[in-house]
Amino acid sequence: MSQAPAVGATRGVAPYMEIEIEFRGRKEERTMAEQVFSLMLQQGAMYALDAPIRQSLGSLLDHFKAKHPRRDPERMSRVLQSAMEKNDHIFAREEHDGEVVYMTTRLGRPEGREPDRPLPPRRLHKPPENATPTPRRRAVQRPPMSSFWVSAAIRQMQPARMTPAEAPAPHVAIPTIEEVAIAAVSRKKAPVTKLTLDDGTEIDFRESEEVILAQSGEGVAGVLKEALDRDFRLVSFAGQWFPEDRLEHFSKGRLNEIRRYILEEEIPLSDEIILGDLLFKSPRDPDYALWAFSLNARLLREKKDFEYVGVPGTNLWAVKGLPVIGSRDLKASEIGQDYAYLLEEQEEVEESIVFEHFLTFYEYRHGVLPYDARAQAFFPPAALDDQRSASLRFEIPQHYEAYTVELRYPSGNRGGWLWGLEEMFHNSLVAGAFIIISPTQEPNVFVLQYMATDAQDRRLLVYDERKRRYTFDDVIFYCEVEESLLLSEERFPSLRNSRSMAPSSRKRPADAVAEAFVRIGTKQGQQYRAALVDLLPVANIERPFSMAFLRQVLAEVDVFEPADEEGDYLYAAGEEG
Amino acid sequence: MDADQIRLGETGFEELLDWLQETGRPQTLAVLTYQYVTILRNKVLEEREDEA
Repeated sequence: MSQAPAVGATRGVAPYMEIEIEFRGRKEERTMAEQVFSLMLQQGAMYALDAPIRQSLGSLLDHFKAKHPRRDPERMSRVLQSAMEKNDHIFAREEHDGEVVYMTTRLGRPEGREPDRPLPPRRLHKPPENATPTPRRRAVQRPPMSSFWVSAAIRQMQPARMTPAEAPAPHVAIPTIEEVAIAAVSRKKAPVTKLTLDDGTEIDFRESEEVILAQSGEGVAGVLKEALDRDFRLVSFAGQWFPEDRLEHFSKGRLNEIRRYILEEEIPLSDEIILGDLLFKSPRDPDYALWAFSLNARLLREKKDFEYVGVPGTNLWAVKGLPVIGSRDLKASEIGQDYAYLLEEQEEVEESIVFEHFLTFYEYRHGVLPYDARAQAFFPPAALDDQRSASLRFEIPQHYEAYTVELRYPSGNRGGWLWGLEEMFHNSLVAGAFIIISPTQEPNVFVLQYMATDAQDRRLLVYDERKRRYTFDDVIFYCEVEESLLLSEERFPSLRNSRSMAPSSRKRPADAVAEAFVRIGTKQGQQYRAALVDLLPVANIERPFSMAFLRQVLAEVDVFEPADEEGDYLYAAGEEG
Repeated sequence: MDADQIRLGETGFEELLDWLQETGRPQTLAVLTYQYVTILRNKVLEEREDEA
């Protein structure tokens, strides 16, 4: 393009193209028009040569006001519009919605060719008839970025705390999201080695196992036990766990064989005896522990036929049909109610290597011992949570005898006791006898001894079952006794021919104490007076009393009151309901 | 792994069961607790060594 410049005109070259443009008007107007053309050329750099490039008057004015803030805006507006009018061979003036818009092209011409409106692709490519419809694509969504990476990215972008002198020059370029994610993966935070438990204790796994267990072993064990008990794949027995599918199998026939064997032996048998005699398993066998665990876990499930009566260290099994252990005169439920007061006695005792005890008349007569606080500290506790009783063996070396004794653990509102010694007590001891029980190497075997003496011939209280009365009889015994507990005729002559209390009255401790007052007390009008040391052995005829329990009954029931003389009590018989 | 990601009774529990099975005999709570602490400790410290 070559054309002679008009007066007051300049020629310019459109950038990137060898095209000469003539700008007309005053110098100020030519400069303004050239700048506007340059701006619009940049705006439409990617347009076709003849595609219209539009720019509004307002936008152009804003541009020049920002570029020349000190110039008068009104004058600048007049110059701009004047420049556009005088260069109408380059710029076309249009109005859209009341707004003045100037248009040109990259060739510097006031007219352009509007591009054709493209048709939607689906209309250009109609699918053939009977064609299988293309399944509609689901919009692909970018997976949401994990909050971990977002927080890591934020941490990465936070400026390091450095002094201005140390701080590097500000980094202008903003990293892309991919760069941030990659940086977060490659630079992990330092691993955390401390775990805080619910109870506030802290486990630092940099410490050794021994230190961790010493500091937090109880808390970890508690949580782990819950998880072990919860897992149906595991079987537990007596504080041990193992996967159920790895246990040895016991058939119904084998269980019947075990039951018959226990019945033949007539005593509860240990897992060791059952495994050795019936399954020929020895404790030296490498799989013995698994066999023993499998046997015990299986028998524990067979609650209809088998009952666990072992103690920690010896697993014993009983079956229905074994010889009954107990008392001839009282049922287990009655004795449990008699010893219910033990549940409330919270006596703190120290563990002892022997169990020393003075027999009361009730214990002597029924062959029982109280499972009181001292007994609980001495005899083995239950090995299982819901265990009802344990089978113990009491050896009497002075007589070369042994007795099977049942320890009934406290349950519900019934106290605990040991029984099965009726024959031994009646053959060798008297009420008031001093006995000593000591443990052996076997956890369920104990040695019962008494302090032997020369023969003593006394008239002592006995119960005549035929007459259902208490009477005195000549008794020769060879054991040390506590005189205060001895029910001799010379001390309590009034007990002769006294009737046994009715079962309903005997259950009430206050009635038993009142009966003791009546039997041995001194009658003063409507009152009976008796000393505490005499009340204790006599009250123990009908039902068990500890000294603490007797004092409690005397203090709490209003028909009893202490007498003026210390150690004596009064019973107001007339006030008895 | 980070210690604060551990859930006692869940994290490492399957490894503990595998170990119990491999021993071939039932184990007490004390033994299981020791082994469980060992498993958790290894999980935490292995990562720490990897980091180093």
